[in-house]
Amino acid sequence: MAAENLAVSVFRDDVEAYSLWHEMIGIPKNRIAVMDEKDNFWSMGDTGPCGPCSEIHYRISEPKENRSPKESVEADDETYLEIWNLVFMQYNREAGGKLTPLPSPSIDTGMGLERIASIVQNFTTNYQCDLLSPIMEIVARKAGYALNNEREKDVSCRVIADHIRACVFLIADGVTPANDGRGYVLKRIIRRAARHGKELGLSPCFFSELALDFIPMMSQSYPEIKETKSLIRSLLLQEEKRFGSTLNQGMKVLENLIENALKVNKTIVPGAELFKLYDTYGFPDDLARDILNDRGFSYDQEGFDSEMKIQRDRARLAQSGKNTDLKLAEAYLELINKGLKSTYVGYDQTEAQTKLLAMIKDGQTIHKIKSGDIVEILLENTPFYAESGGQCGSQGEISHPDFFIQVIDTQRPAEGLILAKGKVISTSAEAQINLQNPVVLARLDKKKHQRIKNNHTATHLLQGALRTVLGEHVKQSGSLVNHKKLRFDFSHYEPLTRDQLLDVETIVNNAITQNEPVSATEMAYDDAVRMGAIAIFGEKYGDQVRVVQAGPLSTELCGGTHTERCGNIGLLKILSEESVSSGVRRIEAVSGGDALKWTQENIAILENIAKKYKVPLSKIENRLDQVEEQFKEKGRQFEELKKKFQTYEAQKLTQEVEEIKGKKLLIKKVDPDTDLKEQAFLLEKAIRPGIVMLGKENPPDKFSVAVVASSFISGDFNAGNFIKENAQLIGGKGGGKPEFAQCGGGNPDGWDDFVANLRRRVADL
Amino acid sequence: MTGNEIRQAFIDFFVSKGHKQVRSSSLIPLNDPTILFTNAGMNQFKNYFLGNEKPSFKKAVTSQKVMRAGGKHNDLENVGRTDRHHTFFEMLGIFPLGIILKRKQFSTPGNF
Repeated sequence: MAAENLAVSVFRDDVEAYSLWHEMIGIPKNRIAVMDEKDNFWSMGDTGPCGPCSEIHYRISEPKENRSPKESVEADDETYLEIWNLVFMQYNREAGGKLTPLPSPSIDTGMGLERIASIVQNFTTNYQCDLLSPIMEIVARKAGYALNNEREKDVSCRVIADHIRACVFLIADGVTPANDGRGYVLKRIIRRAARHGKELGLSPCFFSELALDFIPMMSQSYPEIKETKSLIRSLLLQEEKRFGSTLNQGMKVLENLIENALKVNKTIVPGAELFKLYDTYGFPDDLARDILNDRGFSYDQEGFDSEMKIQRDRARLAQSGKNTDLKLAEAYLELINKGLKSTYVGYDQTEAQTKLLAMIKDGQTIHKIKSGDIVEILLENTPFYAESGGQCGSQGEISHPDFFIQVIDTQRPAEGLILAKGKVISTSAEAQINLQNPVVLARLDKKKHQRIKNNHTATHLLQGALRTVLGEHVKQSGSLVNHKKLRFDFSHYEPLTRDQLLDVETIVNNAITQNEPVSATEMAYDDAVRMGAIAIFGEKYGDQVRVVQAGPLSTELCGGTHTERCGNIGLLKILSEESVSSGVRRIEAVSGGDALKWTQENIAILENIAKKYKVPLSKIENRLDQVEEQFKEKGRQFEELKKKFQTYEAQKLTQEVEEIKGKKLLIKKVDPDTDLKEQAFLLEKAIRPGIVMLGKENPPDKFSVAVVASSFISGDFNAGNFIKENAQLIGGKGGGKPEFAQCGGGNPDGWDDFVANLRRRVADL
Repeated sequence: MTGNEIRQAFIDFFVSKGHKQVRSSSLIPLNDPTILFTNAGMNQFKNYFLGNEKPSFKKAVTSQKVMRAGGKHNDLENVGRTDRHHTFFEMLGIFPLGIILKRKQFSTPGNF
């Protein structure tokens, strides 16, 4: 790059950076732009590290309006392109906006690869560089389009090329389409791509196919995208299909909105409705705009934007409620700054004679304890495992001649800061004990620990079995292991069939029976990956990793504690399989004694049932089928009898018909369990033509009325209107059609007036 | 020079200058509710900046997967219409940790 094509920018208050560029590097003043917060103060998010930045710009076109490089950069007239950013991380922005100096100010500096590639390769846009253009060419070819002929089609090709990269990498890192958070962003990106694919006339499944074309282009540098290929493809395909039905549904809603507006002679749809269409139905806003324009409507951008803003503010408010200040508590920082650290020795020890380094109570380092205190304890060597990778924190005890602490949990707020949390159960005769790094005996709760170890290894075997049965795309996206059970969340796009679940369970139990030893080996990350060890989504690994191997079924990167031999697990029983979110499934299982107990209890239930039906367990299914069939038959008989009875009742009731001015009228208060509507129609049929009104109490304090009028007289008498006018008599509301109407309310005393009004009404006919 | 070659050359150059090559972290930020997606190379070093943890190396070089869609750095609606905006891109970065020597840093990009 030629030096005369470079310009730099600095933050307006950063005098130091300015003078360094000018005096030390010798950049002339007309090449140093001075910018404000918007351009040259970088923040990671609403909170967190931030600081002034200085950028290096590269000239990509001829100067405009005789501007100097400084003026061009300041005017942002696209003559210069930012290629390198130096952020001086000096501050932490706390929740509330206050800037405090960072304890460890640093520099974050770098450049976007696509940008620098386009410059090195002499192109004017990122999309022409070889990281993006091959994808655009595939898209264009599939659409039968030659690039650079139509602006809108080029934009569509760009959008798709950009979005396929984002989607592939997001799914590979464990994001799945959802209605909120990261999954929602992924969904929007897929839909935006699908919308542009539609514009180009591509097939409805083009995007998932494109993923397969794209993955080989970058899998050398990012192997994770190759490993998750089948998951990426199926999730994209699923979402493409859903988008198709979304479009149809959204079109109907939009048509309704247009129709309603036309009814009141308007050619605008309220922005709030448009936003709902966009937000709730996922209907692309630009598509809605095109359709409205075609119909001669104007687009209420302002209304739409204001709804969008309301939603964003709401989201921000929800976010601000969370603890976004990630700075550690003072007491923890104090320990780190003193260089105090705990070494974990629990892989091969269940107890340790060790120094107690520090104790914290209510966020303060303390030196005295008394009975009942809840404290966090830092030990020099600790057998207690801090919760991580899904494995729960250890429990146990810490004892000393002068005190005894029961440990209920173990956490690690920062690297090396393993803190056992516990309750001081007893202290010696003196009420308080002074602590000067006493030597204590730290002991794990051995029984619980063994069960945790068994469940953790069982989780690994489960993942191995799932990958065998379902495929390599299965990856852990969440896990919980404690002494009672294990819960495993993993990427997969559909529910497991019963057979698949049985296969998985069998494979795990076979591995348990094989009783292979479980080994843990420290090795270089690259070696571990080479030998096929599975990593977890989102986990951060150092150069040296621990590889846990449990027979041929499982090799995983894992820092947790494991059982010595697979056989220790005894038995694995899967209890449930369900969906957590789109593309993520969850299995819960128990092992060992818990699995046996579960099995025994459930078989006992089945045996009791069989006993009740007086058949052996092996025959119970047949027996229950028979019983169900008999039950259905009885039901049918009951319905028939009920009908007969109602007809009989109706006939009896017809004797109570009264006549007013030649019109037949039947009024009756009936039994609470009568089906009013059915009975009223039955009676109307029996006395036709005539009017039937039935009332009944609905215990404890409600009343219902139904009226049926034969169509012969419905021209004169409208049941719907009558009910509407009189419903308030029983304290309710109601209505219906001229032939039939009903109402309900809370005032049974109104029935008599109801009756009187009907007679009066009929008399007036 | 292809994009893949540029990425490699960048890393090789800074490794030769004593930087430690650190793998890209996931697009899902680890234990950080303040951001929706990893939006910069420095995210995975945040705890070092805040003093919550002490790094085992002095300077690092990364090629980081980055998303700028949703959250503070949100470019989604611009993507495709402009020449330079992306939802996903790779950030080549170097991170001298805990050394605040502006002076020294100014000569670095020029050398590469």
